[in-house]
Amino acid sequence: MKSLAPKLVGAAIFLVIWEAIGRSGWLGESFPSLTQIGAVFERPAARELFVRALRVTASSALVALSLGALLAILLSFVAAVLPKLEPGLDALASCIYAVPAIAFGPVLILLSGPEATPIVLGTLSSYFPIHVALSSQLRYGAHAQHELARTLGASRFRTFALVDVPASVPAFLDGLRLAAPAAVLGAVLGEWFGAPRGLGVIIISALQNVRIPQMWAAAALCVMCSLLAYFALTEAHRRAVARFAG
Amino acid sequence: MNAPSDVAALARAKAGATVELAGITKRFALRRGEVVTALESFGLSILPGSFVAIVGPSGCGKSTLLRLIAGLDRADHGSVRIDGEPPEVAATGHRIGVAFQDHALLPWLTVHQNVSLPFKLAGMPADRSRVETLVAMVGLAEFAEARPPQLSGGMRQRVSIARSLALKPDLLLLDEPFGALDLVTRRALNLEMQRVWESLGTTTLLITHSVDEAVQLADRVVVMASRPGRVHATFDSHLARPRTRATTQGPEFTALVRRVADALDDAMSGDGAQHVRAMASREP
Repeated sequence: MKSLAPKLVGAAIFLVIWEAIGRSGWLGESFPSLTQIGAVFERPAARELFVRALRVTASSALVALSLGALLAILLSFVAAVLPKLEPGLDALASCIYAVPAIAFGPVLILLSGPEATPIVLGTLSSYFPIHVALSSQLRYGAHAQHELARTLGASRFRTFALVDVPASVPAFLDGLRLAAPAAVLGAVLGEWFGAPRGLGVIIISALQNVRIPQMWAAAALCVMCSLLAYFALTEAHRRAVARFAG
Repeated sequence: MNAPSDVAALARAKAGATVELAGITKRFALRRGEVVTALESFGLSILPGSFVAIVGPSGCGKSTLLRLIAGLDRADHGSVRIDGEPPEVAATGHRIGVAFQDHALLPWLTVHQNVSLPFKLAGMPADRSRVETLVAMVGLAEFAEARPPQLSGGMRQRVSIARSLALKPDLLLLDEPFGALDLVTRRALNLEMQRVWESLGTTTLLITHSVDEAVQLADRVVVMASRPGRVHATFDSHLARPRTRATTQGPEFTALVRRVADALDDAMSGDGAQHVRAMASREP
């Protein structure tokens, strides 16, 4: 709790500066003040539209994050049990992550259709941080415990199940909290490829119609969505460290 | 889930393992091609069921030696044999117990679960009453459901000692397991563990900084010299067992402690390292 006050002060300063720049008109029309952005939500019809879009994007991001986590668990466990595959899987993961996500768009429209594209892009974006955190822990973590298991004649599988898997819970949550904003961004990006609803759809149509406050309103909801997930998972990570890392 | 040999290993009437070290040389590469020789032509025979203590200056290769016997490292030359086989064979047969300086407890498990861990890792059903006995032996019955982060350093060491005995090993390797304990606990545990060792007949190799402890517990005390690590002197201790407080106050005990301490001093001055000697004299 004691660390909350500086965070709130920091956030307040940030918002005040934003408001001041917006009102001064220094960056012109493209950078509206917070009150202008907030005014977007005044009309009930608009509010309803944004809430529905938020719900769509948030659920796409959640599904994407879960799939990304499953994929990361699966591949990093495979790499840990079959070390020969490790360099190849790592290289593949890095390559996929390095491709600008937007380049996958056209392919995904064909393969998964515009409805599922947000989920697929969100999955690809969130997979990587979880994979990196997990495989680094599986490779370098719990060294002393591994040696203990060796002297006790434990099989590789038992060592993995009894030592490595529980020991990697904090690393997994660490990756997950970094992956949550990536999942939201991936979902929003995926919505640009013809999705019927979502914050990404609002952003792209607001941009095309030069309705800057609307665009920022949608962006602000994306940020809030990401931050909420980030802080919730940070707390989960803190607890896991206390439990699993001592 | 159990190979028959696992069950057999648990039920077998235990006799300690024989350890044969011959001509062991172990070098470590440092940066820029520098090489340090941790052990050179090191030889040692440990009879089944006997208790050997190793004392020596810091960095004389004691811990390296233990790791070689545990099968965690390989010697550059020479051989390590446990009952005539390489250490990996004894490890696979769940016949080695270790308590190293890094206690390597699992922080998410309770004390009881940590002491049960060797059974689980070996794929055997945990012997609940044995685990409870061991936890009580190291004085942690009240803390059986506590987790390691809630324990003091000395308590964690005691958990790892209890864990090392879980599978009734034929060979017990202890690296400074009592280092973090206060003197009173240390003495009490020494007495208690003598009883356990005698009943198990486990071959034991103990590394310690305490000459008193070495002489009290061991049948043979090996004094090592460093750079390269080698045997400087060995002493056989024929004091009657069990060795109680009375034993440690007797003239025979005191005389042997003095001889071992002199040999240790001698081993250190051979290195010409004055500060090492000064540090050793402060150790318990």
